[in-house]
Amino acid sequence: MDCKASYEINPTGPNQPVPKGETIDAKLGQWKGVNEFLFKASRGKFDHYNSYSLVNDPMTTCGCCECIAAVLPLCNGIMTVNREYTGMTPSGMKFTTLAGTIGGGISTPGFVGHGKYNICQRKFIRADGGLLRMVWMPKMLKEEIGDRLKARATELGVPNLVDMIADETVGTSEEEIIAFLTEKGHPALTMPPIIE
Amino acid sequence: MALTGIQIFKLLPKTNCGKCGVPTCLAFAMNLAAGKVELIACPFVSEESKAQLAEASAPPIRPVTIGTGTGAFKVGGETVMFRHEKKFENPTGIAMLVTDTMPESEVAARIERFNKNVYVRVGVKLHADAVAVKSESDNAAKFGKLVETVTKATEGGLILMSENPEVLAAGLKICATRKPLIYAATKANAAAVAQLAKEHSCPVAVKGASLEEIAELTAVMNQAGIKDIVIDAGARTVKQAFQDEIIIRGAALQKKFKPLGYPTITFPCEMTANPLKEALIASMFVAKYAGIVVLSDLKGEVLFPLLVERLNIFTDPQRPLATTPGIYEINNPNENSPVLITTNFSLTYFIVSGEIETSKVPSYLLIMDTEGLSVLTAWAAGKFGADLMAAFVKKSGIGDKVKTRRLIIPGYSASESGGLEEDLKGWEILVGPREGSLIPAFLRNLKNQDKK
Repeated sequence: MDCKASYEINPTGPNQPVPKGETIDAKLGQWKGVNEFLFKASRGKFDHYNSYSLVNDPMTTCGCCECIAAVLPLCNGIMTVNREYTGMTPSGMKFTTLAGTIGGGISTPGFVGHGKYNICQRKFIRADGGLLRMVWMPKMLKEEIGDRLKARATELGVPNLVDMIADETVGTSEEEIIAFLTEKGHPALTMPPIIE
Repeated sequence: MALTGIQIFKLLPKTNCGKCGVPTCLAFAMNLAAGKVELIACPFVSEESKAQLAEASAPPIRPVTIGTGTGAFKVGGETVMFRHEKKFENPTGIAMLVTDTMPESEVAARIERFNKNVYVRVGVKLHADAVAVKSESDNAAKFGKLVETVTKATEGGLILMSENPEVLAAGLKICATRKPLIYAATKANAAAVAQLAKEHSCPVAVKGASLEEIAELTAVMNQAGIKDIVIDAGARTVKQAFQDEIIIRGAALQKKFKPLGYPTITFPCEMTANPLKEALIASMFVAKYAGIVVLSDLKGEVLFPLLVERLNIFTDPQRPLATTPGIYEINNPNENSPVLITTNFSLTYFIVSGEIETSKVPSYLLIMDTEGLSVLTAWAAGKFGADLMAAFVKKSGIGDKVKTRRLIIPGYSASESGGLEEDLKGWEILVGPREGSLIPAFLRNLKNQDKK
C-alpha cells in the first residue's frame, strides 16, 4: 500500500512497479522481469539475484533493514540479529559490523537483510531450507515475534522449534550453541550442508 | 578477481580460534573479501589454501616494485577505474631522465635537483622516485659509466633505457642489486631482454607498436617466468597515449584481460620540448592512469605541483587524513609546560601545532585518536567526550612528563570541561580558544599570568 501510494505521488520516485515476468527459477526466486529491472536500475552492475536464498546470490541490503541474517557454517544453519541487539553474535560480528560489511548495494553470499516479520513468512530463505535453518537469534527478537514464530514452526511440523533456537543466554559463539543444538536435536543439524 | 566471503571461508581452517583478531573464521573471511586484512593474519591457513587464495585475490593489475630499501617504490595494483569507487592504490612513480650524451655537468645538476627537491607537506615526505638512465650513444662502456655515476649519487629507483641487450647488460652489471626497471623489451629483442631480467630478477618494461603487440609480448615474458612487467604502449602523441591508458586500465579491470594487467610507463619527456607542456601532460597521466611518468628534468616549479597533485589523487577518499596519536613536544617543553589536547584530524593537528610553534611557548600537544575527525565532528560522533579524553590523558603517560596538572581543551569542547574535572581528578581544565589563530595569544597570556 505504502509503495503504491508513493508511486502515485511521485511516479519517478524510489518506489517503482516491477513486472515479475517469466519465472526463471521458482525455488531460488528469480524472474525475468525482476532481473531486467535490476540490470537497468543498477546501471548494469547486477543482472540477477535470488529472492529466496541467502547462500546463493542473495538480495542486497540497504543497511536500514530491521534484521540481518548470516550463515553459521559450523551449525549448518543461519542466525539473525535485530538492530536493537547491540551485543556480539555467533557470526563473530555485531549488527553494525554486519551492516557495514554487507550493506550498500552489494550482494554478499551468506548474508541478507530482512524485516522481523519476514522470518515467519513461508518464503523466508526457502531455497536454503527455510525457517528450520534458524539456530540463533537474540532473546528479545524471539519474544517479540514469538507467537508468529510458533505458528510457522507448527506449520512446519516442529512445534517446539522456538525452544531449540539458541540465544545470547546460551552463548554467542558457534561452539557454545552447537552443543545446545545437539542436545535439543535441532532439525538444521541433519539437513543437507548449507554451504557446498 | 574478488572472491566472496563464503568462497574464502571454505578455504580457511574453520576453527574459530580467534588468533587473527576477530572471533570467527567467517568474520575473518568477510574482512579478507573486503580487503581490510591480509591472509597472513591467520596462523593456521594451509599452504594449499594460501596459494589458491593468493591466485584468486591477485589484483587485476599486478603491483610491481622497483628499487630497493628507501628508494623502492611500488606501482600498479589498481582495482578501480575511478577514485571515488574505492581508492587508487599506488602513486604514479615520477622519474627524471639523464642520457649518456649529456654533458657531465648537466647530469650532475639534474641529479642534485633529484636529491634535493624533497618537500614535507601534511606530514608526508614528497619526492620523485626514480632516475631514468638512457643510452643514446648505444655504447655499452659509456652507458655503464653513467649508470655508475647515477647509482652512486642517488638512492632512488633506477630505470635503464636501451633497446640493445648488450648495453642493458653493462648497466645491469653495475646496479642489478638495486632492482632497476629494465626498459625495454621489444618484438626484436624480447628473448635476450627476458634472459637479462630473469638472470638479475629485475622488473622489465615491454614496448610495442600497438596494444596487440604488447599483449603478445607480456605473454612471452610470462612464459619466460617473468611476472614483474611494466607496459609502454609506444604512442608519443598525447591523444593516442591517453587513449591507450584508458583502454589498458579498462581491459585489465573490466574485461579481466590478464595480458594487459600491468602498470604502465609514459614519456611526457618525449611528447614535447616545452617544459610547461611536459608538466601538464605528466599531470594528466598522474590522474589517468600511468604507473610511471618520465620527465626530462625535475625543476622545483615542475615537480612540486606534480607531487601535490599525486598526493591528492592517491589519498584514500574514504578516510580523512589522520595524524599518529601521541604526545608531541613543541618548542622544547619541560616539566612546567602546559598541556594541550586536540583530535588527530591532520588539518586540525597542523593548524594547532603550527600556532603553538608561532606562540614560542614551550608546550606539550596531546593528539588523541578520533579516527581522523575534527574537533566538532569527533565530539558530535561521541569520539571526543570527557570520558574518552580522560582515559587517553591517563594512558598517554603525560603525567610522568609534567609536574603541572593543567590541561587545555579546544574551545569547541568547552561543554566537556565539567565532565573532565570529574574524570581527571587533580587536573585543572582550561578551555582554550575556538580558533587555532587565537592559540598564540592564549598561551602567551597564560605564561604572563603565571609569571605574576
